[in-house]
Amino acid sequence: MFKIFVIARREYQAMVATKAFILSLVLMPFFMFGAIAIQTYMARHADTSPKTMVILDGTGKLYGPLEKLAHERNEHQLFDKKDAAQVRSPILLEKGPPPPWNDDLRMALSDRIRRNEIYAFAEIDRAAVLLPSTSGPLSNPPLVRIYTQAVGYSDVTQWFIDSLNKLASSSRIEQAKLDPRLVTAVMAPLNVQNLAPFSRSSSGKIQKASSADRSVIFFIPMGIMMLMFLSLMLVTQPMLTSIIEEKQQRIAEVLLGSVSPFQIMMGKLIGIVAVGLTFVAIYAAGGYLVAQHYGYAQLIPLNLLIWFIPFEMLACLLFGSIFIAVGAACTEIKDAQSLLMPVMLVLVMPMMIWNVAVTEPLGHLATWLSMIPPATPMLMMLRMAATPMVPMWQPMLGMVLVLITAMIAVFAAGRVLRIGLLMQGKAPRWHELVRWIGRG
Amino acid sequence: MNAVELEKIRKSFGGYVAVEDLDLAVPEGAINGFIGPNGSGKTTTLRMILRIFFPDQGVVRVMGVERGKAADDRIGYLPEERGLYKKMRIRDVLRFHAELKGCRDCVKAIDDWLERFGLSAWRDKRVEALSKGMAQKVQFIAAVIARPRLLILDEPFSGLDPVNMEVLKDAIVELKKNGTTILFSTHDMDVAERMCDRIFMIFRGRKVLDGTLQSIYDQYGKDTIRVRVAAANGALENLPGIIHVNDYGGYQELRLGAGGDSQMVLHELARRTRVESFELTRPSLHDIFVRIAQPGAASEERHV
Repeated sequence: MFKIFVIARREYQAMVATKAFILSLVLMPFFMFGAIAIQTYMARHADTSPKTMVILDGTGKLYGPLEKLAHERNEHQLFDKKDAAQVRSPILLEKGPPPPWNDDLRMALSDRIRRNEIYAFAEIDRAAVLLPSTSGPLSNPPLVRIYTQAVGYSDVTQWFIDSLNKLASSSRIEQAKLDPRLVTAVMAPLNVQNLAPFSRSSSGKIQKASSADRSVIFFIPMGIMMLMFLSLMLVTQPMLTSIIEEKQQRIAEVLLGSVSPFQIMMGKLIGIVAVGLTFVAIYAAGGYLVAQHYGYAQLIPLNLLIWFIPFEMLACLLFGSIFIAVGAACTEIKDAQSLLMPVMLVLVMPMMIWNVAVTEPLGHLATWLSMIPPATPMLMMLRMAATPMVPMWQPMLGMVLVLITAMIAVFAAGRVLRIGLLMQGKAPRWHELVRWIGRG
Repeated sequence: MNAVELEKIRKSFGGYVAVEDLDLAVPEGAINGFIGPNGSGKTTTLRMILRIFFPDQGVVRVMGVERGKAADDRIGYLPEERGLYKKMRIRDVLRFHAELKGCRDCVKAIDDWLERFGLSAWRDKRVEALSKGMAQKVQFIAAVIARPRLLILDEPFSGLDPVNMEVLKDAIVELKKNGTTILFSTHDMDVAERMCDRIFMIFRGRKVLDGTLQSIYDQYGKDTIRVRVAAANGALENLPGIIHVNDYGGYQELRLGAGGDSQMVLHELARRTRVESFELTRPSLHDIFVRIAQPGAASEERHV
């Protein structure tokens, strides 16, 4: 037992007391929040040069009001209210010739777009301001065409569409001889507030529903799953390189002169679990402090810790033993990486379906996938963080399944380690590994 | 009593038989040399003694225990290819190895050994900063730090300069004086001749020499003539009774065949050229090794 502890302590120190680990602790949030910061920065430093649009107005009535709206926008909406930085482009309109329009004109305007002289041109059909017939089936042919090189809806085209709809609606209301205020009142959307459910505090008092932003609640399960994912990535990769180093540097043989393969593996696994828990503790504490700072601390489901910790430990054991086995079987890191490709796919699978699992945590897909052991720790935590309605038997069954799978993985990895550790040269294939496991 | 006893050991890897029908008795408290050409099965045998490998057939008995656990704390092991964690500090790596052998209070022993090998100034340096010779000495300390009763050294002197070889040799001899049984493999026959109480040689997985140095010499007798002649070219060809000539440049060694007469050789040589020196001697361990292991030497191969 003491020898297992000695190996575990060395593995722990080798992984934690390194610049790489400390750097990754610091850099990981930097990269995660860095992406958000970059987006904010990009938004603030977006292209704010004037954008010219040529309007081919088939109605003969819309150009004037559109120009007025553009003018208003350019006057009031280009600058950030807080620090007066320009965040949007002014829109300049240019009146095109009246209909009929031919393709030569469209070609000429398209060339101007390509020469960057104008941003876009739009054709507005004469019928755009007419009141659609209320009898018979509603047909909805395109009445406005916008030509631009920009992909998707840019700020400029979105403004144009919104403004045009506003003008078309008022024209129709006018033709229908309706009171515009009445129409606005009739069409006013209901104000819906999205809340978290009521809960009971530890003292038994009913706690009011939080009016926090639902998007925060949406991202908390994702954060919990990410925490487990990152901890697994952080422990398994160094374990792979460490065991390959032991093979390449022939350290394995020295170790085998002192301890059994089983002791080596148990020591390594305990080291992995300890590093995983250290990482989780640091991140969970850090995350909680940040959440507390922003007033979201009550949203963090601390009660899930009693599930998270055993799931985290089992996931470390399960993936750790697979990585140890593959590392022991290979002499080159690139051989190990190609052998690990299917394992990596299983590892990232929960990341691919997190959206579905958060929006429908009780759905068939999320429920059944969370019962497949390699995915269970992450998906079960995701579901449980998304809703308290997950029936208790599910995480319990999941835990038992993961426990059994982890035990099988540890047993199999032990056998591979015993054979692979002193073997040099070509990496085995999966079926050969299975044969090693069977042979014992 | 014997520290190690092997009986009828066989070990194969796939279709390749590495060790065949091997009996070996390593006496306690002696320095035992284990020689043999590359690929002859030395490392495999050492690994079976260490229980890193298990034989397909036969019995391995280490210090009287037949079915020991995988690793025995009473055995120290220095493998042929050195392996130390590059990023660890010297004192930490030594403490790690001591603790793996169950030795918990080893700080003083580490300091003493580092002092003895002139490595005290390096105790807080990382392994990657060491030269090859230094790393080898650290690896040796790792093997002996837990005061083993049996010390197995696979090529302990390879790559060491004469000064460091001397330091290591002294350490090994002192360990022997303190009762440690030493079994080391080597390609350096001079070292084996000078240090070993007993020599084992295996070739193609089978034992071909086993005994004290004297008994091995006795086995081969005085069948070697060491000469220095004025004109070696041509003068040594077709000498009566000589079956092999080995020219070392400065001197030549002639091997007498069965029934060969050294006086006749001397007479014939004196007739052909000027003889500067002529000595009838026993073959060196090096010669014996080469006779057994050189290509086409099957006639010399006697299984013992």
